[in-house]
Amino acid sequence: MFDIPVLSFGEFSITLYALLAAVLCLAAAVFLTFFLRRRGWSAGQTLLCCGVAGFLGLLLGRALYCAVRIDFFLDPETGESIHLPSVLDLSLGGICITGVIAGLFLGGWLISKCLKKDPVGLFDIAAVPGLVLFALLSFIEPLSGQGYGPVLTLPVFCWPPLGIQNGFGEWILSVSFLEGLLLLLAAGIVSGLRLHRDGNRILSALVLVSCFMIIPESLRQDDVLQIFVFARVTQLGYCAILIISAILIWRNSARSGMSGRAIALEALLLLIHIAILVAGEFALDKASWPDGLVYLVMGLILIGTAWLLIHRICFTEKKDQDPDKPSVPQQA
Amino acid sequence: MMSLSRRLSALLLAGLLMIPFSRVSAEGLTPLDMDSTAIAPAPKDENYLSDHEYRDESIHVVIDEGEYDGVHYTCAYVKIADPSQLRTVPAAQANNPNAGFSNFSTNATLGRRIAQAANAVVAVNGDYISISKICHIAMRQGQQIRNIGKGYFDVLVINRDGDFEILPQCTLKDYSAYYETHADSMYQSFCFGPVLVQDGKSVIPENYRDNYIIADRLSQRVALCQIGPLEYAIITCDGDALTYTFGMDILQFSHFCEEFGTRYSPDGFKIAYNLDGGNSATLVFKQRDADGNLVYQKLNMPERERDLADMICFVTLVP
Repeated sequence: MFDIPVLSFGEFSITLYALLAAVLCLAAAVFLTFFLRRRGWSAGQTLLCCGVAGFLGLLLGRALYCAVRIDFFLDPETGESIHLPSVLDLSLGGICITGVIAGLFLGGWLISKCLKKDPVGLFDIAAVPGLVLFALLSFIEPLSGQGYGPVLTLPVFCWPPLGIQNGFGEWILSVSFLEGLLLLLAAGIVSGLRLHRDGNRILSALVLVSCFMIIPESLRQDDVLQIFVFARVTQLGYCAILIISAILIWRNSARSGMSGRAIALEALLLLIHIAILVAGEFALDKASWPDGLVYLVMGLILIGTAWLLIHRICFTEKKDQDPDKPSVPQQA
Repeated sequence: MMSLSRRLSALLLAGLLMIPFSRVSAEGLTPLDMDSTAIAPAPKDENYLSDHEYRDESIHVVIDEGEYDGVHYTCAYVKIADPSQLRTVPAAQANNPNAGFSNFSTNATLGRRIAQAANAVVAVNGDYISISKICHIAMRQGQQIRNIGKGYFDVLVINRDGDFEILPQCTLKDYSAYYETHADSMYQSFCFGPVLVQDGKSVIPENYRDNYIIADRLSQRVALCQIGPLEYAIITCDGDALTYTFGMDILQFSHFCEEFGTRYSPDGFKIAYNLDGGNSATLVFKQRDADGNLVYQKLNMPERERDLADMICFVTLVP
């Protein structure tokens, strides 16, 4: 939407957003080398892992975008052939964050396996720095011309960086700033949890990211990736991440002695929560209920979902530390 | 067969409407660039003759509302002086005056905001250009955006004279062939439909079904109609796109358009084309709010607003 700042170095030019994003990712990778040293990763191995994970993140993020919007990449006049330069140009449509997350995990897992390291330990250590990096990338998203939502009508919200002034001087919501704040909150919560079991930290991070990002994604009025008017690919992706995380959490809980009936009950509750979220998105598009009320209900449901799953993780941790409980395999 | 009294009343109404139109002239006014989304001059407050009428030297708009078969309708009669006054506007322009159309843009915002950014006198939703699952073919402001026609939809082409042409059940090859021979004269193309009325007669068969537009259910509907040269009508009907318990199905809507067209011309609408209905159905015009300020309002079912990807706007040439 906004004019995108571009830096030129002779014949080479790069957007300020891409440059800052690259610097932040590089800084995060260097930062990670210190944390992973304790787990026996050399600096070179960490940087290799980050490089491969970053590349696969971009690749899968773009691939998912192109797969969902394949129609956009056909020749506009004949509609017959894929316009390859458009596919390779990330500035045309961008990338899908769900694909990026999948790519990062795939890259981390592949390199860990090749180096005979524990991927779950890697993911646990990368969880909080990853959330902080994600937050910082969200804060700079307006530099890419994206990350905005509806017009702000209450003057109390009309201040930067929560509000951005558009080309007509109106204040509009900076959804990306809101997302950045929520991601920092998630990072704070995850780092504050006393977690010992491998995999629980990354699962907590995934649960919180999924729950915290669904409403801001709904508020976006930028070039979001839609499946239809009211269904956004990123929201569906976060729901998928939430379900996968929940399944892994329940698997761990079952190994720690949680009854099948309790798991079934929680699974049913999660499905009801997701159904209410889908109904909420549908209502925002179709019904004439006040948007604020719908978002309030969705917000409460998401907080409830996050609490349920984080509580389950913490409960499992307590069970694991119970000296009377028989030992169980420590796997995520 | 139209009764004599209806024919006479239609002629009388057409005659009355023609009086102010004869004053509409593009003389001394500069047409807008038809190949860009450049913003038009803002309509002047003093030219709003009432909450239902706007008139200046280049455009005349009359808003009308009523009931047909128990369903509330809102429509706009539009007469312009130059074809460049019929414009399409992307949602992105609501935030950035320089924004243009892009195949990759999925921006969406309220119709009132798009109309305001474009300085529209009257505006109506388009075919939801960013949803490529329905909008297979798109040209906006002379820029070819997309062609993946599958033959499911009738395509409306508006040429640079402002005249409508229909490419029925348009496939990729149909459109490519048409584009090859008409590229220079093409201005806009929309992919939704179906065409409701041609040469004054409904062309929707009794058993018409189309799941893409939920043709057989009662819903909000929108039609963009051409009455004559540079003379148009926008027709909307109320409905409920959630429960489908009231509104019009496509057959009923086509009959309504057929009948309504005779209000403006004894021959009815040359073409009436169905646009994206349901909660997308949005007709925007400036009306006075409670404080007496002229503000853009959604005229049809204002309690239900959906973010839109683009709008068709009729603008003034008077600076």
